Amino acid sequence: MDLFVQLTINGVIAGAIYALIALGFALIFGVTKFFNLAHGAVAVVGGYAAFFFLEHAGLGVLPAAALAVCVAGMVGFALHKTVFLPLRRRQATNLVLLIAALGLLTVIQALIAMFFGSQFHPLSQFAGAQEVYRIAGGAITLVQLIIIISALAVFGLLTLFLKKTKFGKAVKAIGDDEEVAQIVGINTHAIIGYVFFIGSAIAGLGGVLVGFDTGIEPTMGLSLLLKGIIAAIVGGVGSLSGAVLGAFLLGLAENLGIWHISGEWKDAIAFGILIFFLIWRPRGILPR
Amino acid sequence: MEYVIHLSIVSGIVAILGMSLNLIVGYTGLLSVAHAAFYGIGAYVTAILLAGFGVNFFLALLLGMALAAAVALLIGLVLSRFDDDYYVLASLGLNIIIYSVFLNWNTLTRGPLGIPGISRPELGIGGYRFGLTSNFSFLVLTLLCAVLVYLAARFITRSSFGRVLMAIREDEQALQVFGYRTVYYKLAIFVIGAVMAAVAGALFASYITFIDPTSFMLRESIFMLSVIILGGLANTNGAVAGAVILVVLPELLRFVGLPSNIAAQMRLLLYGLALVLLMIYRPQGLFGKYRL
Amino acid sequence: MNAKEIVWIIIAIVVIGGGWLLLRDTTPADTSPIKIGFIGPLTGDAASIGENARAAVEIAVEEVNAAGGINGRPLEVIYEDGQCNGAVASNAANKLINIDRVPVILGGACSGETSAFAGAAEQSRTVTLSYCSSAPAISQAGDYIFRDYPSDTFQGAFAAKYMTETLGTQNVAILYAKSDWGNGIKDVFRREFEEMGGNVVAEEGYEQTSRDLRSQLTKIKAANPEAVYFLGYTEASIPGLKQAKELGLNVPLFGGDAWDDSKIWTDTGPAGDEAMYSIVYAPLNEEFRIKMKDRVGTNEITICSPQAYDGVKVLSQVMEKVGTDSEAIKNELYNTIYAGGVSGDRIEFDENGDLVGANYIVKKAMNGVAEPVQ
Repeated sequence: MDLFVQLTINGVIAGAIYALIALGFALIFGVTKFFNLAHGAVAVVGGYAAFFFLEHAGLGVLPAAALAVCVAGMVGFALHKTVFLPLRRRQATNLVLLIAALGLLTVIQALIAMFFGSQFHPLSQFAGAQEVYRIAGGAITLVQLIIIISALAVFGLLTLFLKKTKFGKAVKAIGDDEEVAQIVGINTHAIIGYVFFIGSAIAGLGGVLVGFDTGIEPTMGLSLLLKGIIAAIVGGVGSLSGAVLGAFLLGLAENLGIWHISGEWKDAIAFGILIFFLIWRPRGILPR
Repeated sequence: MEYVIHLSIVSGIVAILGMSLNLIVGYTGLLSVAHAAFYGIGAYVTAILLAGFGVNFFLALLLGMALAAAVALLIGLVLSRFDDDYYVLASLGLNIIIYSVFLNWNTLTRGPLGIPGISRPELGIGGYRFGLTSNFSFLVLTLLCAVLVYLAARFITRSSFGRVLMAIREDEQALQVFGYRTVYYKLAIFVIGAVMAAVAGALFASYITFIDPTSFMLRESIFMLSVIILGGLANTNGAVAGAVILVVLPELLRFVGLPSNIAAQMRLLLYGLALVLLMIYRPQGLFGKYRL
Repeated sequence: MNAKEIVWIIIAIVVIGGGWLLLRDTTPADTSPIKIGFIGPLTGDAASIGENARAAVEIAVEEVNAAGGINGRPLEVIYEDGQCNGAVASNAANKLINIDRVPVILGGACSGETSAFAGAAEQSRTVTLSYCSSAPAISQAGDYIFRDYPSDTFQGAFAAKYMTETLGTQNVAILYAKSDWGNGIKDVFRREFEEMGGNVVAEEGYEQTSRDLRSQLTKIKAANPEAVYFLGYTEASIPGLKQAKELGLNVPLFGGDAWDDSKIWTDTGPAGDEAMYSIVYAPLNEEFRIKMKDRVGTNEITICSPQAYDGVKVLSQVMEKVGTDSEAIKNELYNTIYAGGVSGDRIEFDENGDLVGANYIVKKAMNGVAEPVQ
């Protein structure tokens, strides 16, 4: 029984991390309709920015994390402004954008590795000793609890924000039909810019939290991103609640799935789920 | 001179990979990142048969091609239901799944230990055995295979079959309206491409005489994609050019004398930058006739 | 003769003369440097090992040259990055063998590196002395392939014996990184441990790039082991050790030689307390320690650096005796007995080119530092 509880907790934690990545990804996909593979890179940027502020600027945990999230957001915005917007203005196809995003992911990871080295760094050393809580026979640390709460909180706030504000309505309009939105007078390019900022900031938060939970290294972006994409697709492309649902389902499936199989097949399980959904339910569970 | 031979062999192998992927991506418009899986299947079949059972290289090559074709058939069937973005993702997922098999099926592939002691090809004519142990002789074999693949690719692309493929790339639905069963065409070219990739895999295994799963990860598929994007999609010559450039250029960096920390990352940096700049300024690549 | 014929004769002279100038051996045999190659992971996951080994090699080279070089010729090393990757190491070796034409390669570090280019080295008759590759399969890699680092068949057996006899644990779980090192030792350990009557209650592998071992640790905990044999490299071991503690897995954790990296113990802090690992006993000496500290800036001497240092010394001694012909070097190495090195009391090679004998000790981590257990 203990095993089941712990595996479930592990699944929820993993799900929360994936949710943070998937939320940003789904948000950006919703307005731009392309798979932004560079999204993984901004998560790494977030983690390393936090590392920089903690190690070299000597800031405390909260200020460093907050600043790091902003930095990630700004990088995402910059990518939009310098690469994606010009390409989209030229009516570039989704595949072109995807490959450009892949190139950007590679470039950013290489730059980070050049400046910070390719070693693995746990951020937890800046946070002091970890408290471990016991819940129903399973263990969970403070950071892991924060991850779960953050994911849910971000989801909640974001949904509220998009539902209640004019900005949110504009985002929905662009998602429905960008051309019409432009005709109606919405400044789509600016709004999309803000969306990139918000989405990337959320991913940056994910990177920071993963850094505190395990650690950061330049190559962490792609694996986080792939899981986030699977979550978004499984849950329902373009829908925020779908992304979150998909993320938690994926996390649980991965972790409970290895109950009787060896842990080394976790990735295969995750991608097997992806293929399954792509074949039988490409719109996901909760499509827009 | 030996070094040039070495680079030529590697370029030849990558060129075969590029040309075969080009048929799938450039001509038919199916953006597959699963190609490394077939490269790996060719390599592993060759490795297991040569190192474990002393089977003749050419026989192992054929068996590798056959297995790759079978797996490609299965995967192709799955993938044919998708288009565009989903196709990429699904092929990506399949690549990772097959990589997991290479890594975890220890009894067959020895997992991360890899398979050492793969012999070089041997030709037996009558009682006379001739082994391709010198690199130069291996280069000849590689070039021979590359030329055969090149000719096959040209033949396909110039035939009516090839024209249908390009039409699928441009507007699949229109073709279907005309009564073409596009699924079969897509499947066929996917299998053909996979079989060619298996040839490259067999050459790779016998040349390096040691393989392990790390040569067949997702990044290898992305590398192959970059080769043809750089060289230009839908152009067989472009695939070869892209292969040579992306093999030789990083090796040249070795001589520039950068501090080692920077050097390895510089390679990745240039490579990513190339993708981005190509997409912005020249999406059709150097020689391509097809803009993505 | 008309003008055209004169021009052709001049061209012929230029071509032949130029060719002769270019192709002749211009290096006077007396004072030009003797070059050997070095392959190791200077970047990537295992960079800490590669960089540290490089520092040790540099020190050894300086000492050799300060003592007059090899028969008056200075020793020079050409460093190439193997990135702990077979394909990369193969390219690196190819360059060293075919462009730099080195008679000897000191390398690779990772077994995957060495395995990848051993074939090319053997074929081109380039002596290869690995200072770190421990995969058992390398014993059969070829006549020209040597190593002054013991094969993992020793380490797995040592750990099995230690856990059975000294720790008294009969039921253990194995957590291992899926790599040639991890799989290699795990296989030997399992065989030896079970032969001694032990019982492996759980065996969980993880991909080398994983940083989240919670799933595997959870399953291991549920199997109730008395101890865990944790074969991990630095990158995964840091979160792994912490996660083990967080999950409440409070049994002895025993690791392999990859744990001899101070970064692990400083980064895990209290979570790493009481963890133990086996490591080849390297006597070192004060002088070596001081010189490494000067060069690297810290007290860090990672595994294999002593072997790399000794490797240079052994090769220098051999080349002093027989010159730079690789076949002569190879033959002499089989007869070499080198005593008083920093990596062990005696370096001798068996008929496979393997290091004869292996002396392991156990170190235990406490308060961020790992010290030998008495």
